[in-house]
Amino acid sequence: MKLDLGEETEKMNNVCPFSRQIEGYCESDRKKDPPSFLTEHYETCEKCRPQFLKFGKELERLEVLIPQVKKEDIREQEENILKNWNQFRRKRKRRLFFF
Amino acid sequence: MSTKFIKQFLSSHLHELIGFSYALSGDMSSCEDSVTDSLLAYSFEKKIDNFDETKNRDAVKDISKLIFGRHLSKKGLSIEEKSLGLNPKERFFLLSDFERAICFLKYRMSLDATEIGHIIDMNSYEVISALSNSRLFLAESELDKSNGEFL
Repeated sequence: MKLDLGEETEKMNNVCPFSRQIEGYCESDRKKDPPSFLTEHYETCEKCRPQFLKFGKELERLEVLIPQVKKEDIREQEENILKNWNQFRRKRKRRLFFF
Repeated sequence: MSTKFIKQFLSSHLHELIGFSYALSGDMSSCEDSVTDSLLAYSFEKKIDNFDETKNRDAVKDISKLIFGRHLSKKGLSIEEKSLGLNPKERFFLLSDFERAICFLKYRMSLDATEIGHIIDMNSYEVISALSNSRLFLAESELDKSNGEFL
């Protein structure tokens, strides 16, 4: 019997092993920075480079979709939270004093 | 926690905490309350008086966990009305609470799978799988859009 490996498996076989290694590094726990020889390879290898560019573009698109709050935009909230914080501390101290 | 510490802490990390709260609720007006409550709840348990970036990172993670718990408990009481927005930025809010939390913690707060798992009570394999699913969903939605434009 002949197994039908399919298009996806064929694609996977064409991927350079370094490329899979670097993805493994980035996805697994506590391995934020892959070794430099791997990143250099990923950027320059003929097989890996299209993958590298594809992921880069995908990441760019994703980052636009994920909400971002900038420090400059929340000055007012920061002041309010600090005010509430101080009020809370004062009340707590007063309550302790009455006991 | 001293006022001096809280001032420094907020100026460094408030945008992350408010961003996380917004990523969950999609409502900027509720973020201030959510962060204040979680911050106060955290201060009951822990006492930090010195500004130390490594300890602060742990504080950010613990406060994020409280924000997430608060969001889930509040969500059970309200009736959700979410329209399927066509705006691509709104598509993020079509992801589940867990997926939104994971995406934000990964891409905006640069946490790894174990740290994310601690915040949302999942193991790292589930986090990686959910991250990959949401990435596919968001990338597909963008592709659908560009295909539509092309046709």
